[in-house]
Amino acid sequence: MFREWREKGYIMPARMLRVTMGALPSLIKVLLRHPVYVMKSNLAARKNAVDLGRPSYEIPEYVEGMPYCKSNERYLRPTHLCNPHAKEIIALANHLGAYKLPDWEFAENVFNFVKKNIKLAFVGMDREVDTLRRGTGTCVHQLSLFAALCRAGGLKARYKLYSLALVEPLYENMIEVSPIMKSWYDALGSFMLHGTAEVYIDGEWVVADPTFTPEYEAAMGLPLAKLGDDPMGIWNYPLEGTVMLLEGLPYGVGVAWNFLVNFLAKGERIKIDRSMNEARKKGREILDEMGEEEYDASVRAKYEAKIPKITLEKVPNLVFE
Amino acid sequence: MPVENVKETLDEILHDYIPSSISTPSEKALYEPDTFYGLPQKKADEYRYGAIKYAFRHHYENNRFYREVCRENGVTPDDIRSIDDFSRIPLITHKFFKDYPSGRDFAVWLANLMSTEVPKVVIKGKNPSFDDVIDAFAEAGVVVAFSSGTTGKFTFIPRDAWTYKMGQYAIGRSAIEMLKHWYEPDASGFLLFPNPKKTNIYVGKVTNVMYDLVKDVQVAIDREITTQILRISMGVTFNFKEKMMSKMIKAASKKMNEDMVKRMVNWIDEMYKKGERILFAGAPFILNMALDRLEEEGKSYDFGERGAVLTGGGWKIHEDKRLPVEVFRERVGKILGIPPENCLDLYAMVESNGFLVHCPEGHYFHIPQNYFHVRVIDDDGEDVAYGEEGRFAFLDGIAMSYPGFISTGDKVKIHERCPACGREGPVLEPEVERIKGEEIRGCAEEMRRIIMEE
Repeated sequence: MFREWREKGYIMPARMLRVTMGALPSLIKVLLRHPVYVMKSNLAARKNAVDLGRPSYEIPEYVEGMPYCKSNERYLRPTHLCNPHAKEIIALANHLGAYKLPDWEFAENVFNFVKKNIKLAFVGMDREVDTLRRGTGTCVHQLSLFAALCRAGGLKARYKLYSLALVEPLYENMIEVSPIMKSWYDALGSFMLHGTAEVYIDGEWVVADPTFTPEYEAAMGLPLAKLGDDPMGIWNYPLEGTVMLLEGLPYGVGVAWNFLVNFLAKGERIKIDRSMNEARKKGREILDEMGEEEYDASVRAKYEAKIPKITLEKVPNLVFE
Repeated sequence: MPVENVKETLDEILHDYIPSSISTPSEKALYEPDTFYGLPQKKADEYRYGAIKYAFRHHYENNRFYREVCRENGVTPDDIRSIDDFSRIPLITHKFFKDYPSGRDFAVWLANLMSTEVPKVVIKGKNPSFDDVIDAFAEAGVVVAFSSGTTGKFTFIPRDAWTYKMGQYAIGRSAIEMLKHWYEPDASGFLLFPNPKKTNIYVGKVTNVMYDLVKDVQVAIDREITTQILRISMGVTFNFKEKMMSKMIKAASKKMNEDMVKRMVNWIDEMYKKGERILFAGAPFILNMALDRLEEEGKSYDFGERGAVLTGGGWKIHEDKRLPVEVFRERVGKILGIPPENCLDLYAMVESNGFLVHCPEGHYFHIPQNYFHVRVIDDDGEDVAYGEEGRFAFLDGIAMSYPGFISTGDKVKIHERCPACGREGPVLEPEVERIKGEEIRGCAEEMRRIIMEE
């Protein structure tokens, strides 16, 4: 059992523990320094909650006998907060083409569903079906939903988590709107945890970053992410030595997070959610005006000129002993 | 008495940094002018055009990777016919210098990055660390300077002896020219950075020339700083051993800081009693620690014109606190009696050999226009108008061993002329910020993480 727990990532890996333990003192310090501000912010949140709306989709109905992957193989089996055997997940996976479409097309449908429909919001950590029912979640919620749908459809999926530095528009929209978050981020020089998913197709792990809806990407001036696009170097810069590949999320992963966003700094969380919601509205206008394809093409052209690569050619004067 | 002719005096003192024959346009632009900041615009343009065109052709012809970048952008050296064409020279993002492999491939990467001939470098071991490779290059005469942001990923820049010496001469001239009303070679200095002899961290290495500029130099951080130590100080540890090292470094920091502050306070006292001219050069937060101590002890001095402070590397003094430059100058004035015109900031970075220094009159950053071309660009890479903010980018006319045409992660505001003094050419606002979201970087921040026990 211990081995299985370890494989599934239920026991928090040392690296994640280090990241969390490294980040918490600065957060506690920031909160302790501004108790009145935090209290006022939480009180204001009660009166002025943010409305992210209802999901724009209907969850398909589960029909007995729908096919789903029952394998206990690594990356296919259920893990903490990622249950591919849940009825709603099976129904949706089937609706998105599981066992009918080629692997890439099915994975692409899953990716597009999560990306286009699940709005980024700093809610407490919960199950994949909760994310599906609510239509909102953090990047980790979205990865769990993506992985669960892929696994239900027989595709292996896993998490790739890391700490990261953000590009300017994201920093302004997500971090700067909350003085607490800003102080925390500035103290660390990075955001504690983000992730992408990876899905195994045709013998390769393919990156999937469904974090942002197209509206939000347009508001931030980012290209519209597709299945296979890695956000590293586009909108985020991972912190050296923090990248973790996990089959599942560890137990206890959300305890501190839930306490933070649901209680301790609820007001700040709402500020960030509101800021992201406003940005999505602006992004919608941009996409309506330009069209998604044209917008994406124009932004991608800009991003193509990013980092040149050196071809490592042999240098005669370099002697290796 | 302060020196009358800075160039004459420094050329004598810094003769080891000047080649026996000055032949290339880059060398002419650096070594010929009587002044870096006071040239008539036309003359400065002539020098700069020559230096940058020469450097561009040099990299195009000798650096395969940069030639590829130029081809992708459809530019050749023949397309550069005036300063107006400088905007066509392809810029490399600063992130490029963070995108390297490890082990033996790191050495190959460095060698392929170089536009000058790679001397014979012997790398030992199957999987050499960054420090092993840096040491091997150093033995062959190539200084691989590094810097790190908060993500713990390093920026590495290889400088051959030619580029390194030009850079050293440039920082010496730039700094002293703005402090010429204070400067005497007989002065004593306190370096608020690591000992240049014991590290390749850029902030330390670049100040090596200070040993030649003043008669006596004390060093705040007199210990070896490798990439490993810097990374661990940034909070990035890869194994248990490094974790333990991190704890030991932090535990030792308190006492070391105490000793450092004590040494500084004693030095200040001694210099004051002796009537010496003094210079503090380096991270402002370190001097700020000494000022705190002096304030606690109720001490103050009146160095007046005898004292000077040349800061650099950023203004973060605590985890979440930035020290306003003006407040710092006021403190220096109040506690050390050093006037604001002797308290200047210098803006530089590991990727460049251009040193922008505050003018004493208004504390705007002046550009050494004889060899260094500054561009302030928007998100599309277009130059912003004067008075606007944008990303700092530069074309470095004396970077010979690597292509010094780089866009950075810093945000600056550019003015057509200095609002405070009569020197010609554009200037930058007195304070530079990081572009939001870019990882926090700055030499002073590196030092802060190395020595603070936070």
